[in-house]
Parts: sequence; structure tokens; C-alpha cells
Amino acid sequence: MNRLIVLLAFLLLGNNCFAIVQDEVMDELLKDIKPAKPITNLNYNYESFNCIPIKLKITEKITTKKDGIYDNQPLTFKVRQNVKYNGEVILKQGSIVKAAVDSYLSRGMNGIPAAIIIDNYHIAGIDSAKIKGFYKKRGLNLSLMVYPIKWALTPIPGVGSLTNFILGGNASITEDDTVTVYYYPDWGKIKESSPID
Amino acid sequence: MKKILGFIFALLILIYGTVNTASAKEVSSAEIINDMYIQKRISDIGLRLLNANKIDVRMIFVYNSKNSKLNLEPGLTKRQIIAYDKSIQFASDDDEIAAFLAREICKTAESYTGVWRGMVSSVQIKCAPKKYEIYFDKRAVDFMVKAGYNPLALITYMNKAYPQKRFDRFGRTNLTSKRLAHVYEYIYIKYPYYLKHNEYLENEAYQNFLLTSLENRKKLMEKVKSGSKKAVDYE
Repeated sequence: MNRLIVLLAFLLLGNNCFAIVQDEVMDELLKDIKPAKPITNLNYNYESFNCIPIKLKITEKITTKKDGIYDNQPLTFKVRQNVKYNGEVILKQGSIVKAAVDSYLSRGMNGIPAAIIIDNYHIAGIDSAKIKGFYKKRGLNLSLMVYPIKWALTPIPGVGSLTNFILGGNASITEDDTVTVYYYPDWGKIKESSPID
Repeated sequence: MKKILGFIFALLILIYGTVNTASAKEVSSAEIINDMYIQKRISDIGLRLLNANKIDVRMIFVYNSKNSKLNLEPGLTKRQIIAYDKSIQFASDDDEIAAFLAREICKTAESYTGVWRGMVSSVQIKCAPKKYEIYFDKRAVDFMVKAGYNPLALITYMNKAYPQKRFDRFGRTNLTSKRLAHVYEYIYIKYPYYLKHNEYLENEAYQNFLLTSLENRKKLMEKVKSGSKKAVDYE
């Protein structure tokens, strides 16, 4: 009887085990990692338009040239000038702001420029849900010049395609660039009247 | 002569009216209610994606049960995201609907940036979709996570909905397997939580992705173990 139970249990459990292809790559890569649950932004309330601009400069230049950038590359910014809210300084000049490259686009044919996108910032003492700071820096956009030439040359067979070899400009963020993010201190405050609750 | 012409004209109008009435399909209340339900669901998911990601440009979400043969990209011109039946039929839960919409939102938001109120960006996206595909996929992952959706649904949705071409070297679009591998890598890099606590492991589409992406996943493992930051040439 016991043997029968063991056999049935094996068949039942074994069937489930063999049905699923395990993701061995992730099992291997994540075996010693306990990743935190990503932060969502669902308790929003955008009623207030009271906003404080925070001007930042990058501490180290980043560029799309020659694999000089990758997804989630950590970035460090410094606050350009004191940030005040209700007469009080909430961020001092030179304070460190952590961010990361959200995504990037390498330059392409027909003059399409490269681009760097930054959208998430971690500022000490400020809820990231109250920050709006989508920043996109593009390289030189040559498409405006390339497409009219391409279309003008298209009637001559094969010639229009030559413009494919014109590449757009690389993008880079240097210390001279000012990245402005906006802090909305009252966003998400009035939760009772929120239609999404 | 005038009488004859008048008679023929009246006859033509009569025939046209009869044919038109006969061919008009009566839409039942159940169909209208069904369309309203799907429209509401799509709008709710789309608006949640916009709000959670603080996307401050206007766009609307339209459900259309009649599939269009023309690829007019109304997202780029009218900022109107159309969810045709042929796209939505592959989605089996809200996360997968969000996956479809998040990609389109990213594309539409891009059409607002750049010179001439985004006209040049729109032309670039339309003329060189290959360049932007993987970028939109990655941003869609970000949008989904911020809005509380599981980004692995993008993998399952793409695996079900996008066919696999033979080559992409000279094509206008990337191989779907390559796009899937990039999405998978992006989720691993930015949101490993979803892979560690994988809710889609028993999903048939996800299992099929695992089965068909062995080589690409091996490449990712080699990249991670070597500590390289270079882009992997997925197939």
C-alpha cells in the first residue's frame, strides 16, 4: 500500500516537475541575489501645480560613442544651486543626486541621432514619485538635411540609397549641460478624493 | 428624353437604397456592450500607464474590432493608439494588454519630441522602425513596471503576437527573437525581482520563449559572468 502511495505521489509530483522548463540561466545568475521589489507609482494625485525646479549637472561626462554607455549605468549629479521650499533650503548647492541611464539609442543611418534618456532620480529626503524629470539629450540630427536629398535623388536608380551611409551625431551629457528636474511637493497628498483609490 | 433620364435616375436611387439597406449589418446590443467593455478596459489600462509614468502629452486609446490592412500609424500622426482585434486577441490578461499599449505609448510620446512639434521624429520612426523597435521595447518595460504591471508579460505577448522572419540584416525590422532577448536582458539588468519571483514560469508562451531562446540566454550568461558591458549580438 505504501509503495502504491509513493508511486502515485511520484507520478503526480514528477509530472509537474517535468512539465516546466526551468529558467536555469536566471537560477544561476540570481542565486545569491535578493532583488527588491521595484517601486511603482500608483498613488498619484496631480492636482497641485506648485513646482520647484532643481538644476543639476553631471559629475562625469557620458557619451554614446564607442560603447561608452549601457542600460542602467549609474550616474551622479550635483545640485547647481540651493533649492528652497517655503523659505527653507531643502537641497544645498553641491548635494549629490543619484540617477541611472534609463535607456539610450545609438546613432543610425540617414542622419538619425543618438539619444540618452534619464528619467529616475534618487534625491535624499524627496519622494521620487513627486519628481518629474524626463530628460533626453540627442546628438546632431541630420535627417532634416538627409531626407530631402534622399527623396530628390530617388528617381535616379540606386543613388538615393547612398544617403543611408550618413550617420547622425552621437549624444553626450557633459558638465556644461543643465538637467532640470521638477519637484512637486503636493503631488499625491489628497488621497481621499482620488478617483483611483 | 428628359422623362426617360429622370426615370433611370429614380430607378438607380431606388436600387441603391434597396441594396444598401439589405447589406447593412444590424449591430446587436450585445456587440455594442462587448465593444464598450473592451474599450473601457483598454482606456483604463492606457490611462494608468500614462499617469503612473507622468507622461504629460495627450493621446487616446481606441478599440477597433475591424482590422485595418493599412499601416497608417495614427499614433504618430493623430496621437491616437488603435487597438485592433488582431493585436488584442493575443493578450490573455491585463499585463499583456499593458504590454501592447506601453509600446505604442512610447512611440506616440516620441512623436511629441524634436523639431516641428515632433514631425521629424515621427518621420524617422516611420522610415527607420528597426532603429527604434528595441528602444520602444525597453521603455515599455519601464512603463509597465511603474504602472504595476509585470514586464514579463511583454515577453509572452511578443512571443505570441510577432512572427519570426528569416533575416534582419538588411530588413526594416529586427528579428523577434533578438527583440525578445533584449527585453529579457533589460528586465534582468533593471528589474531582476520579476525573474526571481517569476509568475510566468508556468505560462505556455513563456515556456516557449525559454525553449526557443537557449542560445541567446547562454550569450547573456556569458556576458554577465565576464562582466562585459558591451551590447550582445543576439540572433
